[in-house]
Formats: sequence, C-alpha cells, structure tokens
Amino acid sequence: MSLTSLGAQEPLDDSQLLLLPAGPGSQSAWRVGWTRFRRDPVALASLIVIGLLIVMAVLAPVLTAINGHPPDAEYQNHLDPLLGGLPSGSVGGVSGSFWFGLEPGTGRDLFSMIVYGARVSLFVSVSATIVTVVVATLMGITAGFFGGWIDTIISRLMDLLLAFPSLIFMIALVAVLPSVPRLLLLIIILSVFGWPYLGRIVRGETMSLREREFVEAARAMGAPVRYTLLRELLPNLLTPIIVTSMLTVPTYITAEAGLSFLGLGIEPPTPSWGSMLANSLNWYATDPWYFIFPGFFLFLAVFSFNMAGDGLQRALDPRGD
Amino acid sequence: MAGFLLRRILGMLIVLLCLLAVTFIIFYVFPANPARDICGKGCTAATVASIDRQLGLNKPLWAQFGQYVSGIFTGRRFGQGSHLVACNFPCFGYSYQDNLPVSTLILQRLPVTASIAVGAAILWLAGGVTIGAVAALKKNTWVDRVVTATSLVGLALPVFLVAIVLLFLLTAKLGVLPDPSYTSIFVNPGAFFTGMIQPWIALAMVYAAVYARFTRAKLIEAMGEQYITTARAKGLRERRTVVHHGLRSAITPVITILGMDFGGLLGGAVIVETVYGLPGIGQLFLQAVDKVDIPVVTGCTLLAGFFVIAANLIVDLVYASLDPRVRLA
Repeated sequence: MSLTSLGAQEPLDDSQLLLLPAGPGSQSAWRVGWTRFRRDPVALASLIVIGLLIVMAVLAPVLTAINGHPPDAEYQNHLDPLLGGLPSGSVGGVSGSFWFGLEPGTGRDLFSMIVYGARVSLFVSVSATIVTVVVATLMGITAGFFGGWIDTIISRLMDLLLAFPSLIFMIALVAVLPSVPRLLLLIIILSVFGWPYLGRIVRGETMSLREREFVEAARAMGAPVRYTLLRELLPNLLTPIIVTSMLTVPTYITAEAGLSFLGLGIEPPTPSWGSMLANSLNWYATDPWYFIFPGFFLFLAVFSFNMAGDGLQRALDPRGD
Repeated sequence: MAGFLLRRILGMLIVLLCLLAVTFIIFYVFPANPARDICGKGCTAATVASIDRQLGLNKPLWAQFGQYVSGIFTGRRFGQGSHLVACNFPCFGYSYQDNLPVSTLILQRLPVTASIAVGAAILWLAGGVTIGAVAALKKNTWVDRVVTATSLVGLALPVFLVAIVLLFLLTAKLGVLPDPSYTSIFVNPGAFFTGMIQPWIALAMVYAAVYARFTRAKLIEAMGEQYITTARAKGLRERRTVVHHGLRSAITPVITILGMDFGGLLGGAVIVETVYGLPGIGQLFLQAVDKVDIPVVTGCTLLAGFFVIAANLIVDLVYASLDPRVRLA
C-alpha cells in the first residue's frame, strides 16, 4: 500500500494511522521517497550533475594528467603579448589541448584551474555542512527534548548568532586569525554562523515529537534517555535534517566563493572559483571567457544542489502527491 | 503596546551588549598584542606604548570592556602630544593609520553605501512583489512557469557573478551604461542613476527571486481564504479584492524578511562595492581588513550588527502595529 492511495489531502484519523504500515523514518517511507524522487526529472538530473561535479573534484589530479596541464603550470607562449597577455585564438584560447582556454596574464590552463577549484569549493562546503549538521542536531535535540533552562540558553545562542551580520564577521575573523590554516578557518566560520538555521528546525521538530504517543510510550516503559533520543527521535528527524543539509551546501558554496572573491578564501596559487572571478574583473571587457567558465560552474553547482534539495523535500514530504 | 515595546527594546539592548562583548573579545583579546595591531604597519614603539596606555590595555579585561562601551556613548580622547583628538559620541574608536575617528571615516562613506542599499531594496521589493503577485494570479499558466523557472535561476546566481555579467553586457558589449560610479543625487541626479543602476540590479537580482517566490506562495494562500470569497460574493471588483484583501495579508510576512535582509545588506554592499570600485563602507571595511586597522574593522562590524538588530526591532514594531495578535504573544 502506498501513501498516495490514502488520499493525501484528507487528514487521517487515529484508526487510519494504525493501518499505516510505516511511519516516516522507516524503510518503506524511504523507498516511497526514492520512487518519487526518481520520477522527478529535474531533481534526478540535478543529482546526476552533483555526482559528476564530485567525480570531477575527486579525480582532479587524474583529469589534469589526461590533458597534461597541472593547474600551476604557466603557458606563456600561448598568450599574445601584443594584446597585453590575452590568450591567442578565439574563445579565450580554447583548443584541443586547452579545453576551456587559458587564464589571461599568466597562461594557466582554465580547465585544470576549474577542476581544482571544484575541489576547494566542494570540500569546504560539504565539510562545513557535515559539521553544521552534527552541531545543529546535537544542540537542537538537546534544546527541544530537555526544555527548561537548557532550551533557553541554546535558543538565545541561536537567536544571537542569527542576529549577527555573518559575512562581515567572517571577513573580520579571517583578518584577526591569520595563523589558523585558511581551509580549516573557512569550515569553522561557515559552520559557526550556519548551524542555528538547522538547529532551530531540529529543536522545533523535537518539541512536537516529544509530545507524541510513541515517545511517551518509550518513556513509560522506562527506556533510557539515550535510547529515546537515538532510536525514537533521531529517525523521525532525518527528513528535515537531510533536506536542510542538502540546501545548506549551496549557501556554503556561495559563501566560500564570495570570501575567495574578496581575497579572503583559500590562498593563491591554489585555484578557486571565487578568486578566478575576482581576477576576471581585470579582463571582463577583453576576455569574457575567463569569467564565463568559472561563473558557469559556480552557478551549476549552486543550482543543482538547490534543485536536488527541493526535489528531496517534495519526495520525502508525506503530504505530497 | 507599551509593554511590548519595552520588552522588545530591552531584548535589543541585551543582544547589542552581547554583540559588543563578542566583538571586543575577538578584536582586543584574541590578538597577542592589540596595541601593535591597532597601531598598524610602520609604527614606533613609543606610539604602541601610548596606545597601550590610552586603551588601558594594562588594566583588567572587564575594566577595558567598560571603558570601551562607555567610550561609545560618552566619547574618548585619542592621539598623542599635540595630536590629541576628541572622539565624540558615537565613538567606535580611532584609526591610528588614518588619524581620524572611526565614526568620521564611516560617515564619509555612508552616502555611497546608503544609496546602494536603499536603491537595491526598492528595486527588489517592487520587482519581487509585483512579479510574485502576477505569477500567483496567473497560477499554473505559462507566465507562472516562466516566473518560477527564472526565479530558480536567479536564486543560484551570486551577487558578484551577476555584477560581472552586467559589466560585460551593459558597459563593455552594448555600451548603454557607463562604468558604475558614485555621484551625489543632489549634484547630478542623472549621473547618480546611471552610475548606480548596475549595483542595484546586481544586489536586487537574488533578493527579487526570493521575494517573488515568497509573495507568490503567500498570495496563493491568501486568495484561497474565505474572506476573499466573501469579498467576491459581495460584488467587490476583482482588482480591489486582490489589492486590498489578498495582497495586504500576503505582504505582512514579506515585511519581516525585508527587515532582516535590509539589516544584513552591508555584507552584500561589501561585494558590490568591490566589483564596481565604489568608495562605500564596504570598501572602507575591506581596506581596513587588509591593513589590519583593527579599530575600523571593529567599528564597521559593530555598525553592521547594529543595523541587523535595529532592523529586527523595526520589523517587530511594524508587525505589531499590523497584527494585534503579535502584541499579546
């Protein structure tokens, strides 16, 4: 029996709920979700694009070995000194050897730079998302389940962090903490300012779940708190956590690119999409391809994570069609 | 209403104090030698010692914090010897690198940033709400689908990318707009608009997409309410029904996100000012970060935080005056 056959819009009464073989979080609810996700062409295509981007990032050394251009090698002989260092040929120097052309001025291979840039972008955003999910889940469940003064402290902390102008604080922190490795600093800063969004959702969900019969039953049977949290509450929180984390990745991708754009991301010569776009400001009128390639990949990454996240939300929402 | 107002203002003051404390810790406790950092590059030992004395860095932390907070409200004196400068309310510190109080530096740059922020907000609010409302009223037609698809693309476009594309298309390729620059609106309104239109569009693009989606969802919800049926049943013209009954209730939550977005706009301004080379607070902030001019960095950070908190307060007040239920909560 699928959830759809029950008539999604009609509220269920208790007797019908008892007939449901699976609540959210159980094996078959995930299967229903996956079946729905597969039927959503945009979401499926986005997931495939994300997969390709991840493969591209992981295989960056292999890909640059295939085209034979390390990301830091400068091919000055393919630049035109008469044009102030623009790549020779049309479309920013695109050729069979330089698939995306060359970086004006230095003559580095744009394809190699973009592939390595994907590494930075995805590594930072995915790592920060993992930290965010762990912190937000711990804090959210704790606040929502225990309530009282614990809830007050955590909730106020979340309110306070949400009231902070995060980009400004991120920039300022990078300035005062020059000794911390930039990659680590980026992940920490993004998570510190990012977790309250998910934390609030988890807290709210936990508070409403806490009052439900199955949690009450577990407590009545004398289940330890740890069991109740991990086996009763957490499985029911997975849907909002997964959906929100899928939508957190693109905001971190944008933030990392933004900080790199301002010269506060990963240090050169390590290529990143944001710093490439910043450099392209010197060449936008003469060599638009230099901003088109990294810009397109940045857009593609953010767009596909957004679409996949939306698709997941639709697929896992039991009220959906 | 008075009680509500009092509670809100009290809450705001507490958040503001926390913001001050966090900012103070970050900039005056984290660094090993704050006086050295504050003084900047190429600074003599004598100056460092005098900054140490003026800021009371040898005193306990809480005393330093007290001095720092009271300085904001009552002003302080900075500088040395013949170069003694009074830093009046609101004193956010003194830039030893520019030899000016931070508030003066910020005030000089304020018109540029304010012009960017206000213009962009008007553009995205008008654009986003109109587009969203049209999509909601033409629900499930091709118009709606085009709006939905476009806003999804808009959501995935970072401000700096839009800004570069605009520069390329409008300035380099078509030549319809000059390189963006700031001219005071009082000096030359024409130059003001042609110089600012690109920063406005770049900032407004992402926000307009958010607002269009939000307005669409809220208006569709509102148009399904029973009071809309009532309004139609009593023979009210459709236009009036939509504007006075539907849109009015749909727009209230839009005000909430407007307040929060406007408060956080300084972050967006940093990026837009960087792309277009506009001399606003964002540029001041970035240059200060680059030069490690800590008093200026601190001042800008506090200003940004103050904007967010103040915007939240204003939103609460507007909301409470629109919706009586909020006041009682």
